Amino acid sequence: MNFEPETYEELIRMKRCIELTKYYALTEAQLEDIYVFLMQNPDGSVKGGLQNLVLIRGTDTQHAQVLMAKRINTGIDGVLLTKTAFRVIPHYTPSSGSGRSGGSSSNNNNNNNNNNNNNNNN
Amino acid sequence: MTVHSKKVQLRSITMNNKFIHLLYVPTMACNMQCRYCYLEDQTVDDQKGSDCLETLQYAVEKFRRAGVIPFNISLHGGEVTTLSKRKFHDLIRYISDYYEENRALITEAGFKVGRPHIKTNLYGLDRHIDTIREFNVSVSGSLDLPLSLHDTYRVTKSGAKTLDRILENIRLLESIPNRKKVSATIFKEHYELVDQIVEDIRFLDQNTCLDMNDFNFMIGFDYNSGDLLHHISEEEQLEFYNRMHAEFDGTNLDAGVNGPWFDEFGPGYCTNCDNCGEKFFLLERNGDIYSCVRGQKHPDYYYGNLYTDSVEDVLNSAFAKIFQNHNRQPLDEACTRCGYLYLCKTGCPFVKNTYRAGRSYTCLLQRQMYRDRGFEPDPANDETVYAYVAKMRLEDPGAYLPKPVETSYPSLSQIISEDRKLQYIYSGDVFELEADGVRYPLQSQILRAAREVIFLTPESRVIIRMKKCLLEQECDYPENNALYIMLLSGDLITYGDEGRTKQRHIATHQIFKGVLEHSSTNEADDFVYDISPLIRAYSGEYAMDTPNNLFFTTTALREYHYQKQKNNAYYHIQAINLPFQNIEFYYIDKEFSR
Repeated sequence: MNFEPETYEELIRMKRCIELTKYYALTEAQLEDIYVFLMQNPDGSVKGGLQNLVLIRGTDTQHAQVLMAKRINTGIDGVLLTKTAFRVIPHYTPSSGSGRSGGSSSNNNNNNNNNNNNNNNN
Repeated sequence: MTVHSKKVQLRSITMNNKFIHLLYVPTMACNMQCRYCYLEDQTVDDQKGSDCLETLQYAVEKFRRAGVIPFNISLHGGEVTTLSKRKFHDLIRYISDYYEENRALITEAGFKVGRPHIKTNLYGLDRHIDTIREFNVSVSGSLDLPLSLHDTYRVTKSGAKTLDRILENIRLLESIPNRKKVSATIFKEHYELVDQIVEDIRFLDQNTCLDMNDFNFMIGFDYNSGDLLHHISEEEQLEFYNRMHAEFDGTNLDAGVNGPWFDEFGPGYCTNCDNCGEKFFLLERNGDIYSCVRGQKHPDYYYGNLYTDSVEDVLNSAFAKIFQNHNRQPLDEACTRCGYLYLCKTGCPFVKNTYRAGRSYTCLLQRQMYRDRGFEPDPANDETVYAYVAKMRLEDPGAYLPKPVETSYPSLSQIISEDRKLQYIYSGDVFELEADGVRYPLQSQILRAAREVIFLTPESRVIIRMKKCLLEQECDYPENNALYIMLLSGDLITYGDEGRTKQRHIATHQIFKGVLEHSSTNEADDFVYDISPLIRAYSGEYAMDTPNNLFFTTTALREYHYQKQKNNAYYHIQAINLPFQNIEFYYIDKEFSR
């Protein structure tokens, strides 16, 4: 994106747009469209699906704008971006597969066998 | 090249191509003016300057260069028989040659190669009978049934009747071994004369060369007939269907009434696609591309122009517009439960928007048909629904997540439901993070349907709310208990004896009961504690390119989780990742200087 954010609000908006590129192949123009959309529509949301991103003003799905975008991260089934949320929907694997991974980040975090398992409350 | 290597090459070409159904409208002109025509007054040929064959050749070649192969090219109108003999012949010859040249490719992709096919009102068929014979053209005609209404509705532009001439033209097809079928659309006005319809079907079967086993009904939907025609209700559709079965089951038309007559509502047609914009296209002579005859001339179903737009843009526009059109109506929850979503896909978006309905206008009829034809309700319906919503809907797919697969051992939800302490560990109601004025209820990482990522800065105010009862209940010594905060980096590291690669731990922070109680911002049921300084204190440790992680629990509950793991292997294997309430975050304070 070809501009320098000057405030944290702009920086966060830009970071959120750039975060989308981890999941979808987006052109520079599409990224700027999304940025401008979010800037101009505080109640707007961007819903990413399996093959597209949809820009929705408030709850007006009648006039939603659809941007075709290839999903490049098959570990997700979608994203939702609003002024306050960046939600990532993990891919659901059908029952013939190994089951749903839940909302965990992609890494294992169980620390049972390593640090800080001491009882320091006595 | 050997046969084997040729096959391998063909398979590779097939895999790299997209196959589409192409309906071509070489002319908008029509020699009739049916009173209910969906094209209204647009059946004149005002697309000057383009040759109908050149347009088709151009389109097919442009599609081919983009890896898009029509597996079927059908001619539609307007009325194709209004073309000059030469143009009609050249078009049919081109399509015939196209099928021959691409037979192997189309067949390899799993599609049947047919004959050149036209949809016609049959009124001007005689002019082209030589071409039809030469290329064995498949003919699909339109009639009104009962025939008494045909002359009422299907008239010439001067208002003259057309039935006698059409029946004469059908006779011309007798000596041609082509596929010859007709279809009829049923509105209320037709339905009320159902006895005559039955008689006329028998008449056409016994007195014409039409293959009445290949006949098909269309259920009319009214959107521009000017109050001339009225649709039949779903119950009437079903009654009509049952009447046809009562009349024709077990007769020489048994195969028809149990097959093609109602096939349009079965799984073989366009509405069986998640998104028909991926497969069905209508091309006009000027290069305009629409969805189909229903969407023709409607801006919401216009995909672009092949002369001015790239194939990629047309394909993208097609998917996007059909997606949009489906989402103009809310998902009908009944569709998520009926078990036949895998066949019906909620119906045609054009009709749904006409009727402002979320489901197919022939829903009852379809379900009856599916049952009669031996289609079982989807045993994995919840998975089909989820996949459909994820691909085609604006609704949150998380709300349609299938139930967990049943296991031979106790499920995590069952284990949790039988253990009060675990219920606190997995509760979605006990922790809430407030960041820059926005509240995020925190859920267990394992149970949450979606990951939540927030963006924090050095100016962010981050507050944790925790239910006071968490420290008091299910804990023998609350004074020893604490709010337990774990900060993990998005950077990965391989830990310990297991050699597991995990998020790197940054810090663990405990805030004991006494300190929480001294917070001046506490609320009646909640401890409210500002953790902004804690977040800032580790600002240099956070990953920049992957989200960091922030977990909350209490000291006692954390200990209980690990105790439970030791005691219960079923729990352990299902809670192998940290189960605590969490939120992921980026901390951005360095970008300004980058």
